[in-house]
Amino acid sequence: MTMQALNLGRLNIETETLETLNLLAQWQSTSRAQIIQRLLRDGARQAKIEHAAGLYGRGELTLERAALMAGVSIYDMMAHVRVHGILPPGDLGELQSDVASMLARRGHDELAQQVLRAEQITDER
Amino acid sequence: MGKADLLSLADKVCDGLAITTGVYNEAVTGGLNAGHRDAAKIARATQTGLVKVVSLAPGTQELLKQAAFPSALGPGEQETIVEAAAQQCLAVLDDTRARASAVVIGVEFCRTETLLVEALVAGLVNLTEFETSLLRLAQMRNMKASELAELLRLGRLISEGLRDDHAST
Repeated sequence: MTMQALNLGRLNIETETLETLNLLAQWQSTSRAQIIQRLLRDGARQAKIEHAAGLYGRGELTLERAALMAGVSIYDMMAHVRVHGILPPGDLGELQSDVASMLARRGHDELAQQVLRAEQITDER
Repeated sequence: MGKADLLSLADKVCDGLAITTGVYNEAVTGGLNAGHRDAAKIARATQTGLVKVVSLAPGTQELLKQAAFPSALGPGEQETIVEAAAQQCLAVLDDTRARASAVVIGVEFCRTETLLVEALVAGLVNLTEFETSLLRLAQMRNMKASELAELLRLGRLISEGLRDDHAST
């Protein structure tokens, strides 16, 4: 991992946050700078995952692209969306059409029609 | 499919399974590096020949460039669509955006859930096995409750329809 100095100038931090940072540094017997560095790294990573997962939930990205964007594996992204209840877009009509297409491809035209009729009923509701 | 242990069943339904090197890199190489057990399952399936790994032929790579897929799609999904177009086979696409792109390219597609329904239609599983596998898949895939309920309903409808077909022949 390459490191780069980041000059934040006069960055204002709430007193409470500063106290927490000092406390964490004390508890973990490390410097405040190292605590800030770790929190920034973990927080930035988490924010990237949350942003990409949000785009996936809105149908703007596929799960694979969201994982790539967040810099995590597709399995990690799957776990994240499951834990946070982020559901992919899509509707019942599309699902019924996919099932009907499969039935038609397999020569079950009458069954495909029945599934599509169910789709119309769902739409009407 | 790997996550829900459905690879063998999908192989029987589709008469062979293949993934592109892009999908392999994403699901297996990346997954193994991150220590995911599911990646190891897919890796084993490629080693035993259950799943074939295919590299895009030069003509298919050209098709990939010309397709100008939206950036919302991952490289594995883009490769799957063009390879299915080149091989004239069915693409398994579980994402709405990917399925919409497959329609534009003119590729036939299905999703993991419909493969399971297809196994029921082909008589590879009975209704109880279908429902058990579907419930497992729903748990793995964070499936919407409304979709799960609809698939269970369709499974019963299809099962009854097929039984009536057999009775009348």
